[in-house]
Amino acid sequence: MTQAQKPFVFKTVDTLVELTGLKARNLGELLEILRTVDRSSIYYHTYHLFRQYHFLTPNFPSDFAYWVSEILQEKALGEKLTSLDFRDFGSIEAYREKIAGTIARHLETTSHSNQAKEGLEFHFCSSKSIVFTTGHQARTLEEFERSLRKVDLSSIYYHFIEFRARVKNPLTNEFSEWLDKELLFPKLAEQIRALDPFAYSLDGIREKILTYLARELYKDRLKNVLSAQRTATNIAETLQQNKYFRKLKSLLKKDHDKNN
Amino acid sequence: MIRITEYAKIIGKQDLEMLFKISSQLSGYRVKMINSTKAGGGVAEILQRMTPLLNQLGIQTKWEIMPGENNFFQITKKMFNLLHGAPGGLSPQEKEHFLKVNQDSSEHLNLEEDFIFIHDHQPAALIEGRNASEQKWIWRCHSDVSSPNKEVWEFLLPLVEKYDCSVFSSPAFAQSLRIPQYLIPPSIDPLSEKNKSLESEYVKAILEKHGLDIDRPILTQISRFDKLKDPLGLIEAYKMVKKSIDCQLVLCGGGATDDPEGELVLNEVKEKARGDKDIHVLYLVPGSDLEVNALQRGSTIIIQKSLREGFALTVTEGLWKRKPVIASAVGGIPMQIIHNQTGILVHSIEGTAHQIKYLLTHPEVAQRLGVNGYQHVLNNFLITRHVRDYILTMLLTIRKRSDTAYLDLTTPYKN
Repeated sequence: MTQAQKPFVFKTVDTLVELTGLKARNLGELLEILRTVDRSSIYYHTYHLFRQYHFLTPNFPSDFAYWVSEILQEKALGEKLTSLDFRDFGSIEAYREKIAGTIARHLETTSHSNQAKEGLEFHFCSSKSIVFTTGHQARTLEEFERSLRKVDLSSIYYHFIEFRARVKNPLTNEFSEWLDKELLFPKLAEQIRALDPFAYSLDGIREKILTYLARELYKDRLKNVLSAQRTATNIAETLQQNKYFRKLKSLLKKDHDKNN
Repeated sequence: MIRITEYAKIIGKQDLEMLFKISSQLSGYRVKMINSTKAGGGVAEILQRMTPLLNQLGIQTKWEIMPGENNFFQITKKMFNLLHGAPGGLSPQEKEHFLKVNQDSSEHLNLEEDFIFIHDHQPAALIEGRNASEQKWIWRCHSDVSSPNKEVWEFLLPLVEKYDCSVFSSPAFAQSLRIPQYLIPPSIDPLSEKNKSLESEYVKAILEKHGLDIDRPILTQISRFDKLKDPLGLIEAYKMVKKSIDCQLVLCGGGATDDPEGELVLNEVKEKARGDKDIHVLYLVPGSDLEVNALQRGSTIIIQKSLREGFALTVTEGLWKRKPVIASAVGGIPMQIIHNQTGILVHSIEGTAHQIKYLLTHPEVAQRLGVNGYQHVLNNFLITRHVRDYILTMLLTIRKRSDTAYLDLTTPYKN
C-alpha cells in the first residue's frame, strides 16, 4: 500500500462569530458596505449558513442571496445572486466583485428600493477560528479512511470547506490536495473535489468521501491479490472466488444504479 | 447536579470529547461570573447551569451576585428600559448612585480570578475596580441594544470600552466599539427541569390543574409580566382568532427580583383578560420549572409577541419541544426562527392573529416547523455549545498556544 511521506493531520475547528457593527437596510447600503468590508466577512456570509443550518436543504448559496430574496423581496435580483456559485470564482475578491456588480446593475435599472423591516437588517459579521489537532493522522489510504470515520463534523468542515478560503483556488479542498500530491491518487482527489458542498450535509459529505475511499481501497486490495498470481488461470479463479472482487462488483453496481 | 457526561446522549460522544479537549487548554485558570440577580430571568438561569459545567470541565468557576438595594434596582430597571430604546434619561443623581453602588460592590466582591465575566449593565461599572492588568474582563450583554437610548449608551460606553472584549446575543445588537465584539447566543439546558422530556400523563395533569381543556387548542406565551413582552397585544391577537376558532390562551410568567414593574403589568393583564374564562393568567413562583415545561409541551402553539427582546429563551424552549413557534422579529428571535423553516416571524398584532389561525388549520405545516426548530436548537442553542463559546472567548483573549492556531477566516494556508 502506498505511503505518503507527509501525513495528513486531521484538525478540527471551532469558530466564534465576530460582529463588525456594520448593517444595511436596503440594497444601496448593502452595496456600499459589500465593496469595502473585510474579505473574511464575504466568506463568512457565503458559508456560515451551510454550517449552522446544515440540517436544512439550503435554498440560497449565501446570506446575500437569502436577504435580498426573502427580506427585501427583490425576487429577480435574488435569483441572480442565488445562481452565483463561489466555486466558479478564482478568489473571494472576484466573488465580491461579481455580487457587487450584479447589485449595482440592478440598482441602475430600478427606481424603487425596498427597506428591511426593523430587526431584519443585514448585519455584517466575520469569524475567528481556533484550530486544534484531533490526534488523528494518516499516511496511507486505509489510515485516512479510518480517521475520517472518527473525526467530528467540524473537522470535515475545516478541511473540506474552510480550507478554500485560505488558498488561491476555491475549487479545491485539503483532502483532495493531500490525496493528489502526497498519496498520488489524482482520480480520487478529483472525485472529492467535484463534490458540491451545497448538495450535501456535512455528514453526507463524509459518507460520500467514504464511499469513494471504499472503492479505491477495494481496487487496491484486489490489485495486491492479483499481483500475487502467476498465471491467467489463477487470476481468473481468484477473481471468481475473491471476496474483494464480489464486494467491488456490488459497490460498482450500486453506484451505477444510483446514477441511473 | 447534572454530570457533564450525561450530555453525550444528546450531543454525541465526539462533541463532548472535543469540549473536554478544548477545556484542557484553560486548565488551572480561574473564572468569575457576576450578575445582579440569583433567581428569575434568563441570565440567572444560564449561570446556575453553566457554572457547575465549567467546573466539571476543569475550569475553576465561581458565580457571585452583585448586591444592590431597591433604589439601585429602580435605576438599573430604568437603564434596562432605556437600553431597549425608551425615551428619557438618567439624572445626575441616578448616575452617581449607580456608580457608587458598583464601587462599593467592587470593594466587597473578591475579583481576583483570571477571567471576570460581567453580565449586563447592572455590574458594568465594576470594571473601574480592575487592579491586575493580566486579568481579562469580558462584558456579556444579554439585552437588546439594537437601538439604545443615546444618553444611557453614551454613559455606559466609556465603561464598556475598558473591557478586553464584549459579547452580544444577536448581530443586531452590535455597536461601534473599540474592543472586539463576539456573538454568543444564549442557550437552554436540555437536561434541566424546564426542558427535559416529561411523561404525557404529567403534562395532562398540569394542564388540568390550571383549568385547561386538553381537547381545544392552547396558545401559550411564557414570559415575565413586562410591557416589552406585549401581553396586552397578544390578548388582542387571541381575541381576533377566537372569533373564528375556539381556543385558549395561557399567559404564564414569574417575576425577577431586579424587576419592580412586574406587578403593575400583571394587574393590567388581569384587567384586560377579565370576563374571558379561556384566558388563563398564571403567575408562577420561581422553581416552577417542571410546570412551565408541562405547559409548553401541552400547548398547540408557543407565542412570543415581544416588542423588544434580548434573545428570548422561551422561544428556544418552545422549539426544543418541537412546537410550532410564532414570534416577533425582534432581538435575537430572527436568529432562532428562520421564517417558514423553523417557525413563523410576525411584525404586528394582526399578523400574529393571522399566523395563529393558519397554523391551527394547517397542522402538517405546524409539525414540520416543530421538527426543524428542534434540530436548529440541537445544533446551535444548547448549553454545551454556549460553554464551548465562552471557552473560545477566553482562549481568544489570551491566545494561549500549544497545538492551537488562532486564525482569521482568510489567513493564508500553512500546513
